[in-house]
Amino acid sequence: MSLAQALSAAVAHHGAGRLDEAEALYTAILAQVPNQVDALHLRGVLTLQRAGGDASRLEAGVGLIRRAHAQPGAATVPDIAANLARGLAALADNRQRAGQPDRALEALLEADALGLPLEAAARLALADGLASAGAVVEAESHYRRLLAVDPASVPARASLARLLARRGKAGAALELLDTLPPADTATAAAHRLRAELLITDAPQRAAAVLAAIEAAGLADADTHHAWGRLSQAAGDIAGARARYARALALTPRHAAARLDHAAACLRLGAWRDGFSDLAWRWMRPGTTRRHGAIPLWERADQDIAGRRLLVWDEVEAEALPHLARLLPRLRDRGVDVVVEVPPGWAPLLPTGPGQPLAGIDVAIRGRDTVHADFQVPLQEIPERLALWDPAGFWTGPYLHAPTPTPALPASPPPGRTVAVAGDTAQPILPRGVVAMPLRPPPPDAPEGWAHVAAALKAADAVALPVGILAHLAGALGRPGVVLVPPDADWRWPATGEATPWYPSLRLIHGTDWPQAPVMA
Amino acid sequence: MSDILYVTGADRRFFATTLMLLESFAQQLPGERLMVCDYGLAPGQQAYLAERGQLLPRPADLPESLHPYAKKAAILEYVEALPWRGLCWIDADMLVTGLDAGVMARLFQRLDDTGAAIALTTDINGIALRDVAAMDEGGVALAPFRTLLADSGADPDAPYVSVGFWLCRSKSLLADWDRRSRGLTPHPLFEQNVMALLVHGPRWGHAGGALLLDPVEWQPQNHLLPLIHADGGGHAVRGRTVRLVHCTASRHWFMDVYDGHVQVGKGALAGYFRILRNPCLRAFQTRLLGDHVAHHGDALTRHGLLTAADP
Repeated sequence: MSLAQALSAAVAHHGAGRLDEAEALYTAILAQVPNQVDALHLRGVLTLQRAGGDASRLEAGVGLIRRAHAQPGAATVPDIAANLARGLAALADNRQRAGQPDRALEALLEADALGLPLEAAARLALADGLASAGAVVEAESHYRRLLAVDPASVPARASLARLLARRGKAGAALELLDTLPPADTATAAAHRLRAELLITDAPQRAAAVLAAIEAAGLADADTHHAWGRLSQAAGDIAGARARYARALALTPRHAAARLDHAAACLRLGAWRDGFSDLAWRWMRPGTTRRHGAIPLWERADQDIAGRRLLVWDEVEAEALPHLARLLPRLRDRGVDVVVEVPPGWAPLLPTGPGQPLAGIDVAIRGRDTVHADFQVPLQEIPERLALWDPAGFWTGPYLHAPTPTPALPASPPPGRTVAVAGDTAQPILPRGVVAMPLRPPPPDAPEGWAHVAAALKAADAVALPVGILAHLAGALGRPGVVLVPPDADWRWPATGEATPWYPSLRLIHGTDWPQAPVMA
Repeated sequence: MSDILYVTGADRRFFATTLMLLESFAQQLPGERLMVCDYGLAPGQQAYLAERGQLLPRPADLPESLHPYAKKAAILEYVEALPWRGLCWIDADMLVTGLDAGVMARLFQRLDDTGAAIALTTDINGIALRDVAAMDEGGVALAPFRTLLADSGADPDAPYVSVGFWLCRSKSLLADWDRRSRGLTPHPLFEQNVMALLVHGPRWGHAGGALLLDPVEWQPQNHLLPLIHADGGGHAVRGRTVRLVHCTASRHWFMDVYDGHVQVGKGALAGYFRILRNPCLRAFQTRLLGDHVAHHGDALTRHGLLTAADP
């Protein structure tokens, strides 16, 4: 039998479903002519047909078609490129199901690099894989190619919208989701995303979308989480907490819901639940709980008396002025404490004999070498020390304006003064009271914090929005008022005029300052 | 030797990874020397590099516990005693595959011709500053970067850059990089973020001073790792000759990470290795490790860095 005859017979068997006979003939041909392009191709197709979910058979089938595709003249053979694309897509799907998303992406990247004709589902998987790998620009181009062919494709629109939202382009994301078919199992995720994107600027429309999802019986943890965020934005923190709890009942490991639940609990004074769930911040993208190679102080029952403990402040600038109050608690339990602070903050920590933070060592980040037996982020100390009694949080003032007081950049105005934030809308002050605008110092002039502290001390009172200036004023024990918006962070109570964190400050709740003097 | 001083940096964990870079560099640029900044090397590692004249000890006034990113930004302190007109940084997890003295001389000439202070690549994923600012997805991890972005006045749509590889001729730029990075609260890629804002931020004094290179040519990484293929004596991807391969990827995709030891011939090298899954790059890394042990096995053994592999 000639090669042509053998091939013809093999194809006939193959077409008739006699796969054993076809395989035997393809194998015989390849034994004689190892790179015979049709035998490689069709034996590969046959192997894929028989692979089912067997990864090694899929690999083998793709390998054969890949060899066929690499032969000179392969472009003239019908279907090789399309079958290689299908094979690589099947391999990718198999790897994805096996929990190997990077191996899945490898297969799809190969198909794309070879210029193979990818079917829509494969291109969507390629775009999703690239998005997961952070290759957002390339992912976007594949989503747009899909939408150029099928503008109505909900999966492509939803995935692209999610990508754009992740890139801070909420408006463009919303445009993609403007016209969705009614919510069903296939479109619920897109509706949910749309609701999330509407929360800030169109809360009523967001509520309508979420209500439609619920009415369709499609509410999941993400839906309840979005409801919670909507309630939170409206200032209904108790309602938000309840929604977050429902989300967590459905999906206990929902990190975003867990963290928002923590914030709601803390704003409502539920310290134990709040600080416990706050630990979920380490599940957020880009966070790292470990600061260098020093072991973590991980459990409250771990005895660290007499050991050297590094306390550090995490990334939020508010953390240090808010919780430096806890350092003496550690000291009083016999812990040898060293706190690492950003440049400019060391002079604000009263560590001299008889002062509130006496006995605490201060290391300046970037300047001092720190050796310690354990480390702990500042915001984990309440949980480690089981500090659940709101009355126990205030032991201040625990920060001070350094002495001698550094010269202020400008002389304080004469008369009664109130420190206000220089870069936001200012409150109405009583007649005769002079506003003293303050700004945080620029990042490369951190020594300016001493001036800010001195100015806060020199002012008769403060009227500040939530933020680091308000924390510093509170830690210094300065009297005054703080404007707390509905979406304030967890450090500011949701209701009431008082805060257990800062007894000298009175809270005003709202988005804007009242249209009347804020203090007598 | 040219006017370019080549540097990398490693701690005790990354030392083993650095050996592949050192070997690839030696093979591609035999007339040059790649110096290694000590970010916390073990005594045997220090001795090995010192013996080869490649150790840059930690300056006495640089805190031992300083974050490695901040140590990288403090590069001027490490090279203070050495002469250079151009300073070239190569991350320890890179492999040199398409660099030679001519390529580097031409790059340096481009700096001179354009008046740029530094040549460095844009991000492999094509992202802009605003993408980095949004990377924590509503969290606080990138809060320091958002503050710096606003302070610098940089256009949020300006392309993000990588500091995995760069060639710089400006001490003033590097001094500001150190000053602005040193006391920063650690957050993702903070020293790279500072450099991105330095070269784009009009309020920080160096805007427009960067010659932006193509990352596909100069340091392919991440989703391009599976696509790199052998090409002549080197490597290529997407039609470009690859200068350096950066063995890094989101979530450590496309590689196997060994944080223990790898066997090289009859010896075992301890440390942290990122061995790429791409067969041609895996073979490249394996050959580099084998070559390094073949050339320097005695010294590695003498300093306790290469031990007998378990039978």
